[in-house]
Amino acid sequence: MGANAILDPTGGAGGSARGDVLASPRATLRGATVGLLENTKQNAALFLAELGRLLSERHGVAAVVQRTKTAFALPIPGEQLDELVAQCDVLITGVGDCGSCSASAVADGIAFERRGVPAAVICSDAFEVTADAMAELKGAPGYRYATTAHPVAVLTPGEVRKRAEEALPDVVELLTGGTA
Amino acid sequence: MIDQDGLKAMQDMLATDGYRLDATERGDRVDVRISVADPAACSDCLAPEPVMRGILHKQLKVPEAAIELTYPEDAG
Repeated sequence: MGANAILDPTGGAGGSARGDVLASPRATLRGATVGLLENTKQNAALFLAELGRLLSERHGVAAVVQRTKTAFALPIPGEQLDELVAQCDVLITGVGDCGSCSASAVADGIAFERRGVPAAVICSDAFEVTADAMAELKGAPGYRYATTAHPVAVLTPGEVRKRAEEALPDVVELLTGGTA
Repeated sequence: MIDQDGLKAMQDMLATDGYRLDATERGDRVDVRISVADPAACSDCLAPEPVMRGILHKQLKVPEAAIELTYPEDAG
């Protein structure tokens, strides 16, 4: 597995593991408002901001709304979920770079999906166990998310931007189902 | 019977955050003890107990109700 990869724990070959309760991918990101929910982990804000910049530059995204979670270990508060659902067409969240935050990032992604907002969750590869288990606990076994190599916290700003660029194709595929 | 592959995966994951996990079967109970392995371990990085219990159930393949879970702050 490369530095970044979309993880499909079901082992399916390109098939959807999103579950029938999750949001349909958006056909295109052109003109979309993208929500960025960063979880306060070191380098998460830069990672997501760079993704937002690249999506605007290369995929015609119209606007980016960046918000910060109040506690990385806990699910997104309902009020913040409502605000982002109202404002955004798609959402990116991360970086799940520890046990609790990878689990809560997946829980958040599923929460957005169930509100009709396609989401791309980014976790580091050391925490696939907790991310996958949380997906099962939330009734979405096989929920797909993007991974990047652990650790993220120690990277330099330049390295973070490079990781974000490497993650971009997977993020776009998660949000669009590969149609963009 | 504890799933050994699942146990190893949990131990590796927790070690990344600076924790050690020990699991012992006692009849129909499973004692799971999480302790600090690295003094710099981030306490917030440990999933909340209800979440951890669910994760352990999935990974260890034992009934959730059979798990006796001890967190570092609970250790005597």
